Amino acid sequence: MRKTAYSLLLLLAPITGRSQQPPESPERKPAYEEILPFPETETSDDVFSGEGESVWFVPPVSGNRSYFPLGRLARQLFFAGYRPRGYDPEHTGYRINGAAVRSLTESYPEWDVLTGIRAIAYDDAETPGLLPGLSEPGLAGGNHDLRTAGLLRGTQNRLIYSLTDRSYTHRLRYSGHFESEKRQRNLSLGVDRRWGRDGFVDGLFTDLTTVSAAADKRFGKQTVSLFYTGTFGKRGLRSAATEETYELAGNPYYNPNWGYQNGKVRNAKVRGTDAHFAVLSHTVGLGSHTVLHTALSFRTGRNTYSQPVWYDAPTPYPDYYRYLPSFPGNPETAEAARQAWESGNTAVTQIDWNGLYEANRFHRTDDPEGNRSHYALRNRVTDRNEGAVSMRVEYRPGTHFGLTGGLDFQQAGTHDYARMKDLLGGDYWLDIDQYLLDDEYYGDKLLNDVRNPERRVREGDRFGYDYRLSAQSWKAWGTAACRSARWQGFASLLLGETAVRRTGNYEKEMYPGNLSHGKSERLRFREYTVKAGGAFSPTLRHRIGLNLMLARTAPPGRESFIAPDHRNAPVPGIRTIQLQGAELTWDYTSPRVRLNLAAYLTFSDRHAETRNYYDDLLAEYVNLVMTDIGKLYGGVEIGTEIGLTSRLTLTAALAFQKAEYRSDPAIALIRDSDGKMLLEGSRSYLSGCPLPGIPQRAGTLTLDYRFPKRWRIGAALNYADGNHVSPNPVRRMNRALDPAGSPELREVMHGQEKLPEAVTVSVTLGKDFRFRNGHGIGLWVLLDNLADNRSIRYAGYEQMRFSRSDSDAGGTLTPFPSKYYYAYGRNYYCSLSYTF
Amino acid sequence: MKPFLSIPLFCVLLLAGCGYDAFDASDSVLPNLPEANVRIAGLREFYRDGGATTFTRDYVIAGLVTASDESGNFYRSFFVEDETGGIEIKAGLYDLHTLFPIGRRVAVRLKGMTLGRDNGVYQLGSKGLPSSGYETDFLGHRALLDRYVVRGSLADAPAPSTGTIRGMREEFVGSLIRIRDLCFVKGGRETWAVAAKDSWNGKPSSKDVWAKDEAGDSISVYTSGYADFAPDTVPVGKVDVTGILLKNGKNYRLKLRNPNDVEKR
Repeated sequence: MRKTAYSLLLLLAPITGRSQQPPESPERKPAYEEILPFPETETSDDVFSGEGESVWFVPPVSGNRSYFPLGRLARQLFFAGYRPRGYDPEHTGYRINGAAVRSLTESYPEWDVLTGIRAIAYDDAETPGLLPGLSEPGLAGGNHDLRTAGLLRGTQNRLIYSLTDRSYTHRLRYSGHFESEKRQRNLSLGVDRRWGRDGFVDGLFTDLTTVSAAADKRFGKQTVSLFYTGTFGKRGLRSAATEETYELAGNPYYNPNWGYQNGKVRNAKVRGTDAHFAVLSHTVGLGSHTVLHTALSFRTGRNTYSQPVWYDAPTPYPDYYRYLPSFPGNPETAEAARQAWESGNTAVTQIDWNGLYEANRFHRTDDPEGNRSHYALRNRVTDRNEGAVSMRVEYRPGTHFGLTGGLDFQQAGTHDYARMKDLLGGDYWLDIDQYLLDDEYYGDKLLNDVRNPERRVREGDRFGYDYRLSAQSWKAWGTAACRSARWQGFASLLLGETAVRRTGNYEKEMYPGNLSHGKSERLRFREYTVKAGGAFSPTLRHRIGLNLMLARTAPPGRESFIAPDHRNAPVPGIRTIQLQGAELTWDYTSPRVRLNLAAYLTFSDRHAETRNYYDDLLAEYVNLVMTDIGKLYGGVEIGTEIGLTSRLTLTAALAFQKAEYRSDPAIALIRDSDGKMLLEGSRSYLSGCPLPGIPQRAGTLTLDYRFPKRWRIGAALNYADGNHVSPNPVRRMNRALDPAGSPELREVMHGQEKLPEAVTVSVTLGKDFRFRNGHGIGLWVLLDNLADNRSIRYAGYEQMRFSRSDSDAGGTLTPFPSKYYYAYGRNYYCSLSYTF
Repeated sequence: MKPFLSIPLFCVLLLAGCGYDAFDASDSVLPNLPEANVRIAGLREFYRDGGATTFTRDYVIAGLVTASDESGNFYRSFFVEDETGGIEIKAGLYDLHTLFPIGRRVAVRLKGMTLGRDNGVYQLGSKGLPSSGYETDFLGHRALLDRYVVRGSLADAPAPSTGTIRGMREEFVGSLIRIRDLCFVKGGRETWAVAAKDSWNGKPSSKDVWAKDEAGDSISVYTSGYADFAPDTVPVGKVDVTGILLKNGKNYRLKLRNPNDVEKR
């Protein structure tokens, strides 16, 4: 009953602290109501109360030690960019019913799949930090093993309507659970529909639907489960802007991506999703001590990302630096620009869609095929098909010892290309490389595909680039764990390999033959993970743990190539990422107090990164290749939950972290047009620069009060400080530092801007009504950032461009101003639910 | 509630999207062009007062675009011509041909603009900065350009006025002119200008290419090193040449809009 009630609460609770993409991470349940994977007779209540008959001082080896206050910190401070320990998303492992939810080619998490599982009831057996997961050793960021089978009892339905002003306006969710009379079969269904415009940022919208279903059937000792989730729809996106632009617009939520077309707001950058993920899993008991889990998963889908393209025409983006009043030297021009911005003339401050149509229509041509578009809207398309097989064997002869091992095999393939979305009034687009049009040397080698020279592209046609990435990965792993009354220890080992290859379908004229067309060399990365750790409980309430890790893992496949859109060339010297980590933990639990402390240190080295940009110092479009990037993550985390009274609970979480570059990466600059090396053997002095987007100090303090008759009220104070903008590596190279005429100017070039601290207050109010027939109504209201603080810059980046004091080489360099994002002001989220 | 009763709920919630990314083509309604109340040739009267003049009254000129920057030979400006003459609009933007293609009807509201003259060509723009040495400066921003210049529909390509080298006059400077039966002195042996890839220092350079007519009079064709036809070879034999008439000191010169301005006889 309690589990049922909690699961229903899970569906009821709002998403807190979220700004915009990426989407919410899975909701984390309070540990005192956690459903343990095993053993089934022991509940976390017995362990943490210390009053049960159990003599086990330590939790089961599954590691139900949770960072639940820090999970709340991540949710409360998502607007400030906080993520636990600042790790890149690929450090955290996710599994659904044993199947890995992980891309071999991309660096970002599979948010559409992870969002999908939230539409139905699920359990998250989270193992934080360096602890090994249930289904794999994992890396440094912990593991989430999500299960859908057999969690709920009986038949339940819930309908929830939510109203908000963050990213969308309306949300309608349905979840249903049905169990057969003999409890042999379960079916869960969920639909989650979000739609509407953002309440703060013009042009931002959400129109997404998620459908999920899970079914399982028990046959004696066997359980077969099927899980499916699909997400489809679109989202309008936002871009950062300079402080000058925000001031001119008089709006910290200015978004340069949109403009009016026939009086309607049109966003140039729209992300489309059509993603499907399914898992067929089987669990069987082999004897009394052994369980075998097998999972087959399949993922298919299409992601699109629209963006304007233009040829022989000015950029359509309204915040291009030359369009701002700070650029013109003539005071009359500057004043006219300022007046146009401050008066809100959307033909100047936003994309002038009508002007783009005009440019496409009003020009003379003798071409029988009509007008060639100067402007168009294209979609960057990624089609994905992936399959995986996972097997896991658990052997537990008793409660003292456990052995788990598994095999994973994953095959991933993507097909990437550009597709013409809208010709904006023109008749065709000519498929050439417009960046070479004005090139003095290669202006006659413009073809994107020599096998289809000067292709005339119509709406719906592929053009520009066309290639496939294929990746395969196999892993074998094992974890041994043992425990006594006071001691616990584990050791994990993983061995594996990931390979990736690019296959070009277009032959680019500048990169003939296999340089762009056909198969690239196969890049192979040998991987391993070694983890070991232990915990000691001197008393029933205390637990001290130490965990260590050493690992090498493959980089995301797409990032292993310099310019995968057009070329087969891999990043020179690309290697596995090397990880070393250690963490020391202390947990205290009493009937009213729970306290978690952790100190950690992780080194993550041998990263590689590429950037494509216009280099003002060389006056060329270049590929910047950075290798030997080293990162350091270290800090202290404190989380506590205190039951001040039977109704009043205080929760606090604090994180003091140091996340910074710990090396000076090697830099190579390669001319984008012909692949010629322009600069190599140089370094960027990034060592000591904080990693971007990570508050170095973060905390939340929450009070929750549960009134009689199911009222609940809460208040939270949230704090984040020490976040920095993303640094431009070129600014830390000698070629940019040497022209600085004084130590002060050199410091300006090298210095990295710290974003201001952020403090917000939020309140929540909830009420449940229960009826005799078992139905119920719930109401939940969240008000965030009560003080309406609209000056919180939560992210930013240094631009790659410079301006010179004069036109000759050797003049003083001035970096372009940085661009920022501002967090929402006062915002709300209200939910009304009906359970039946 | 039986599972199958949930299906209608499913369907309701799967209703089609909201159309945030669905758009009909833009209407592109053009504004009515204001009526001209002064001829382009008449603007010279204002200049004769002794130098650059900033207009303070609601004068309007109207005409067709005769030259723009599509080939890269004209830099950040375009030419407008009515039946009395032509004038340069120093817009100060790039890729002006997308909004001001040859043949586009335009009207120019002169109040606030400055009239200047450079090498015989009358120009409209902002007031020139004292340090620049020019009487007019580029407008430099779309907000200013839209304040002064109104764009109309697309007409047929404007026909040039035909003349001879000997018949060139000051009042034709800035107009679209065709001169027949020219022969380039170094036809087949030189290029229109020096493109960057052909220059010794990697920088493009402009050039005058000389031609003679049957009367033996000479005129130059001036081409920027940034023009996309700069590395093309000057043709051999008799040709008709169309271009904007400019001046260099005492000599007249033509500036091509694109390679089609040279037609073989």
